[in-house]
Amino acid sequence: MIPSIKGSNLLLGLLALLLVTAMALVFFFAPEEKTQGVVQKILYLHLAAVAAMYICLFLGLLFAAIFLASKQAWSDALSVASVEVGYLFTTAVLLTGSIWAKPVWGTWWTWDARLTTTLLIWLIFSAYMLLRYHFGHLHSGKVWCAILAILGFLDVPLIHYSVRLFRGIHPRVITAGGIATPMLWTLLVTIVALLALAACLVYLRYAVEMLRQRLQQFMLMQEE
Amino acid sequence: MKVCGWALFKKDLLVELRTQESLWISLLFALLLTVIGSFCFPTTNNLAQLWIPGLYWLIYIFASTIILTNAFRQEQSEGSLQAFLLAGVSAETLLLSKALYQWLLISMIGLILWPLFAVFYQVPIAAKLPRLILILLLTGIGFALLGTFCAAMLRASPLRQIFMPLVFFPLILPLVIPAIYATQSVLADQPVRGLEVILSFDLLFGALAYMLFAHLVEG
Repeated sequence: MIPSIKGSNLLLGLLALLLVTAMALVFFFAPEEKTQGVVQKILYLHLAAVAAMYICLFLGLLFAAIFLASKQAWSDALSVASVEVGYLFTTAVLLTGSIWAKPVWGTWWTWDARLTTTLLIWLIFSAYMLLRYHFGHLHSGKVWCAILAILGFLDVPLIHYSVRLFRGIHPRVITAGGIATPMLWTLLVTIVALLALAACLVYLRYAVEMLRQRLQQFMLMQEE
Repeated sequence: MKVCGWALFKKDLLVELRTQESLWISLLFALLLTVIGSFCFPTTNNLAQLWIPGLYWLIYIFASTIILTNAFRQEQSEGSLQAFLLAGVSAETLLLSKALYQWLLISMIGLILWPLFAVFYQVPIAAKLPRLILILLLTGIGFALLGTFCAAMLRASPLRQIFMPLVFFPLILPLVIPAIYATQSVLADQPVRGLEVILSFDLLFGALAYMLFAHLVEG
């Protein structure tokens, strides 16, 4: 069944409101951090993007496992939608992290454990995107991508552990009693807003993928 | 399963001995990279022991990928993979026999690389060889299992030579990093570090490859 996007205007309106509220909180409500100054504000987006990235990639693994077990088209469509949105947020994590690191660490990039882990996640899922682009129309291609979504996500803890053999310089952003209440609220609202954005993007991409698969079936029938 | 897997392993070994397709090409490639490396890095100072483990594993990755990429070339061109499955050979037996064969080949590459490094880069390996071989054999297990798995995944693609490194390299990196550290610690006469990560990788990806391989070959 093709998922409906009727009546989604209201939800999209609410999402826009949530995003605007989050940005207003970031720029006008949250106090400026003492040492880092205004650049610290990008961390709200950075952390929210990290949450969205991990949740989306985990959903990608979950639906990929369901697809391998059931071979249902909807699970493949949801898996590819989650992974693609997760990939988008991984890119956002890398970019916002770099923008923050330049003034604070004095460099765009350093081979810190978390940075390297995130870059490797991005590279693994770049391979996923390539496979999907070239072989996504084949059943075997969908199976490969499902397997790569599972292997890629389960690789993450191992990557992190092995890269930690280097000495990490990543800050622990939230330590016990280490964040002011307005900052915490701003962070929570930003996380909720970006998760809502991620959910919306996953749903729309899922609808598009189901339509694409229906169109592919239709064209095959026409050829026969 | 045991008899069947052993027969498949012997078949692969016999084909390699008769055709000599993979090993010699890969060995020559490894030698070539070792020679190129001698021009890229200074070999005469004390810094050598810092970059030698990295260069060793870099050459190992490239040379073993040549072997692993073609793991199912013959089965694909002859259609024998489907024939094995129709004959009742389980997908897991296919994976294990193929991975064992690949492990043997890539371990030989790694073994021959150390004397080459001893000659070209003056690495004193004689007393350290047993520990270096242990690291090589343990790392080879993860390489062979995941490499065989990726090769099976891309076996039908005409672009598999391009896709194999793109898919295989990022997945294998958590195995290569501890292997480099372990080699560094052995060459510096320190206790071996990173073996627990190598073993965790072997176990995790061994189990995953074993569980998922049927989906890959049976579609």
